[in-house]
Amino acid sequence: MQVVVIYLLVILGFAFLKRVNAYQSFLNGVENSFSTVKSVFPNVLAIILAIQIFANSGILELLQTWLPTRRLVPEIFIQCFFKPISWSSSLLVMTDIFEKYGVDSFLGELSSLLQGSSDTTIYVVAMYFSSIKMNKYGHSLLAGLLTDFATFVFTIIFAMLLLKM
Amino acid sequence: MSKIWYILIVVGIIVSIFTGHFEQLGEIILGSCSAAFDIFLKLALLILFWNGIFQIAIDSGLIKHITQFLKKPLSKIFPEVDPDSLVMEYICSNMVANMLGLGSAATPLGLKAFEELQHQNPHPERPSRSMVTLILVNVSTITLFPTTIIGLRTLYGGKSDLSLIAMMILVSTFSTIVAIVLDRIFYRIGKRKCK
Repeated sequence: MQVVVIYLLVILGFAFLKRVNAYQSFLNGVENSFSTVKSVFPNVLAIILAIQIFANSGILELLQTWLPTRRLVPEIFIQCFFKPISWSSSLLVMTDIFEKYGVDSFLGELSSLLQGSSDTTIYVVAMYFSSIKMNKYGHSLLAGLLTDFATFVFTIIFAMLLLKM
Repeated sequence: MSKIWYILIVVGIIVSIFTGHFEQLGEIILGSCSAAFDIFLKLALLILFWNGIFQIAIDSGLIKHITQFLKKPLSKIFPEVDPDSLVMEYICSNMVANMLGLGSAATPLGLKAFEELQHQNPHPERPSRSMVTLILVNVSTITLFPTTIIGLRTLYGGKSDLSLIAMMILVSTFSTIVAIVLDRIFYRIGKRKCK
């Protein structure tokens, strides 16, 4: 957790040297992000409903029996599935894994790595192209999804080799 | 997303009838409201806090300083963009914001760069090479400091030691390298087809 303290010190130290009103900047930053926060809530509410129904239906136990290894659970693959589509959905699957298996467990750490590996591909591609009203995506979507897939495979193998049980 | 939402709910309900979980389903549906609020509160406070901190970094010019170091490596990835142009400035700032885990500040910068690239695009009906590269770099983002994930881990009572952060940096760097390599490969294939 010292990382957070160092990070904060660097930013505040630099602001002090440059004689910037750091207090006022902080207030402005918080104020301006209220609209972002507001737009997140409806998503969270809708997605939690769907995920809770799905995860508590008993389907995860059925899927578990199909997995070749005991170390992985279906939730990890659900998170991977959501990752390119919706940032908040995959994030919510991650917190679900935190609650169910523990943050510092193998699954909790693997889930954090997956979440940090890349951004919401389909969403980002759609947003960028709709901002200039173009509907030809070039190879961006295909290459982006292939990247996601390669990264998931790499992350899971990497975590299974390096992280403890 | 709308289809996925339907599928999750309908499949969940149907499966629960067969597995005998149907009785508790009503409780779970109503309970999901307060569960959503708990998670939202954690998430919202993190977003507000980090945006406040980052505003200090932006106002003090720290972001601009870091941007200078990125120009050289980035002009290799974007060979068709003039390294001293305004577009490059936007692309660099977008990268820095992404690296620091500041998605909400990175997006407007990325969109501005994208718009500028479209103005310079010789074939405005399809994306230019640099436009596709910009998107792929944004999709795969190198994260040096994953603010939201570290914050959520702490709020759920976990640790985030340096080794885990180092692994996150490694994984996100891997995805960016894959994205850039794939971008080059697709570009070559496309070029060959044109000939």
